[in-house]
Amino acid sequence: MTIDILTLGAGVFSFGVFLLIHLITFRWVAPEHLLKSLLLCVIAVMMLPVLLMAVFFAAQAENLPFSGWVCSTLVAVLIQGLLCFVYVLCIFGPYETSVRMRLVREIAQAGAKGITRQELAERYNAQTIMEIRLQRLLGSGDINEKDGQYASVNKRNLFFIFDDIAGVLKKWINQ
Amino acid sequence: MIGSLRSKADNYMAYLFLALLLFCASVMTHVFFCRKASKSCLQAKAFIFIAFIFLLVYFFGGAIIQRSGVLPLASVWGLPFRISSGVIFILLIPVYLCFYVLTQLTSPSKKILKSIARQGSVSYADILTCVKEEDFINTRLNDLCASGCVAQNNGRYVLTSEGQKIALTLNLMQFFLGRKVGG
Repeated sequence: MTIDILTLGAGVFSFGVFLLIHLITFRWVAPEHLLKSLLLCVIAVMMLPVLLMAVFFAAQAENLPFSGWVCSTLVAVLIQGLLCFVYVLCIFGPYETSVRMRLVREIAQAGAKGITRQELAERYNAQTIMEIRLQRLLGSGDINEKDGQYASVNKRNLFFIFDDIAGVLKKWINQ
Repeated sequence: MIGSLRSKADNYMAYLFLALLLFCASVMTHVFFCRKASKSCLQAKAFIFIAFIFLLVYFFGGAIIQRSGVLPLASVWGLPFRISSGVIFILLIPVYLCFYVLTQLTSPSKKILKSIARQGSVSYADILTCVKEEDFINTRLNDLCASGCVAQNNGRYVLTSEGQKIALTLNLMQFFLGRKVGG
């Protein structure tokens, strides 16, 4: 077995463990604790490829110098991190937060007779969107509430970091 | 000895460097493509096509490096990290697309956070006004109609076969995740 397959295996296996933990435990995680729990889970599981590669190194699964094992571990962590990132942003994220996905579900519930815009607005509207998000943002500690006033706590949260990256990309595209 | 180890480490990472370099090239190509193409719609499919071309370049380039004997051969799978780097390249495609979509779309959470950050401290009513301004429901509903997932019949919205597939996938996800409907 080559170091390439060992590295890829360690990354994919670690993601598999993350997915298993996620599928078993996250059904009980309240929406307000979701963001923090996800981040903690991803960071905790990132230790797994390091551990696996250390075991391979100890067992001398491949005849490599120490620097080779360090590189392999970094690549395994990168693969696991990317798999988690893609899962959270492209699969779990849209299921949990997408307005479009919620609309599809609301329309699906109406069945073959369909639903009017008015009926849809009664079930899902700006207030629902806002309340779900305020609950999440308060739970993640990005904002706080005092005497009915909401204020930012964390000025450099993930939303703003993503927004900054997208901003740079937008600038390049619009040049 | 340190120099020898460093040289070996560089060899191990050669494929990763090639993959990352070609991924950056595909992003730059897409950026130049977007400058020329219509700004009103997302060019996500174009990026997937560009990235696929560069992925082919990566595999052909890798094969040339392997045949040239510049790097030491490791196994039948090729040199170290050849497959891993290809997988990293593939995984970077949706990562880039996430950021690219953000250049044209605003999420409600981001809208709320920006509104709070701009004004310092805001009330529930202020946030609600801000969310209402963006009209998230109607813009998304129109997008769903335009993409062919939802059809409008006599003022009533129904799912098309494409939309029904998405609804089925969401139901399956709910079964596995065990979580309530999001939104």
